[in-house]
Amino acid sequence: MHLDWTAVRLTLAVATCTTAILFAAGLPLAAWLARPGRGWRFLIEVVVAMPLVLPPTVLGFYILWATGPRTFVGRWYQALFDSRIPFTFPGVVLASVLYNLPFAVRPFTAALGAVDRRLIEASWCLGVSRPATFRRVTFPLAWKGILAGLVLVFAHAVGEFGVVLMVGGNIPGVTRTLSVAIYEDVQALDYASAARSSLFLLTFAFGIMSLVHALQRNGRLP
Amino acid sequence: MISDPGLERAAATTPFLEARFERKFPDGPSIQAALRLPVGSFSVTALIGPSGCGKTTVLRCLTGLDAPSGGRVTWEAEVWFDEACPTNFSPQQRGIGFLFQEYALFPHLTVSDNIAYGLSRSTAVETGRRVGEMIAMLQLAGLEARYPHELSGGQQQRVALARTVAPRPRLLLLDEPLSALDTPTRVELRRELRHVLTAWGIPTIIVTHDPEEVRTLADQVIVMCDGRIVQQGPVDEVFGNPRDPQVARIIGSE
Repeated sequence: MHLDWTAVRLTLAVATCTTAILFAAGLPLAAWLARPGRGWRFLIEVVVAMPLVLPPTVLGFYILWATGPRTFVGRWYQALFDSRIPFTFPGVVLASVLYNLPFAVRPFTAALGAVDRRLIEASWCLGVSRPATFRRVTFPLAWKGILAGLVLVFAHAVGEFGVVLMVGGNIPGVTRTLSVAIYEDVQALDYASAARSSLFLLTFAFGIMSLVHALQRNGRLP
Repeated sequence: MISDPGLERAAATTPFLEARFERKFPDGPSIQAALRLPVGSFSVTALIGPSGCGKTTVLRCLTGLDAPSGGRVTWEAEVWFDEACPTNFSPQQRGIGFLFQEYALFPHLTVSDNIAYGLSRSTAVETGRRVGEMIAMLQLAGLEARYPHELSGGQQQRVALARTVAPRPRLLLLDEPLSALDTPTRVELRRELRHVLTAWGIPTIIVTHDPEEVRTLADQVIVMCDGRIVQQGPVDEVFGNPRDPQVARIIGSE
């Protein structure tokens, strides 16, 4: 009677990498999307939001198709790292990042867009550069929304299943996350293992949502 | 071509801020401005006109926050904006102090930090000295550690003015600085404002729709209506001899 700790560690590693990558890459994208003036920017917003309505299998299929050994990306990755993207840990992280993109970028954009434009312009008129204005005005006023997005992404990445199974398969210690392990346990009629893993994820989800709720009550999250 | 008869009558001393530009809006009337203001010595120029006539747009084009659709803006020999070149200096490059209508104080910073915000290139000692000067001049002593939401409207106005002037801008643009205040505070601050503007000696353009503010604060006046400059000159001259009934109505002489 024990939990599959290898799968737990792998799940947390995928979620941590996904959150870190989306913080680093999602924030500049959200800052760009939050700028006034629409134009063709809505196309990027639509693409970013697509995983919300797209079946995970569809996204997983396209990731497999785009990163396979015959594609430019696949050959380039093979030459550079002597490895492939599908059915590896980086592949699972890539799938998780793409699938979680809207869960990061949309709250980030909303938080950055809610910062009063006049404050940003006042900073520029005081001689402060755009990057320094972002660091000294925009980010300090938007951090609650950004933190909310990161918590959501981490929690969502922990429970990710469809796209991870499509791109990563089910390789113990490499791509077998907790939600994939539950699926396999049920397939193998090992309900006891499935119950333990499910209880772990249920408790985790309850803990995360309680944390978000507590932060909101203390006025530290929007 | 944008033209304005008042332009030729502007003072003949140098240097000048010269601006001839047009700003078009897809869903509204365009704004045309032709200004030639002497900036070598202290003067206050009031930009007066009814709401929506384009006063704020003129200020935003001068700061570089908005780009004109065409024209040219120069400061002495420096070209800030030129449609033909093309050149468009950023607000950071222009060195203008812009006081927003609603002050736009940084809500997460204290009074001291707000005033020191534009002094990031100065040393800590210089910054402290400059903030102290501003606090003394604008009677903000005792409020240094407070946040903007803990201040009255008049105090917020003073902090915003201190923050705008602290980096020693070469031109000061004030967008209806007293409009958000109640009448007694407005009257009190009007006197104070003229006093501090004279003390600082920074050429100033002040946007207002209040003729009394023009009389109290300004040396020169530019009258705007429907996106055009309709008359400009010394305050006494314009108020004593408005060009037409429309100008007379705007400056309250009718």
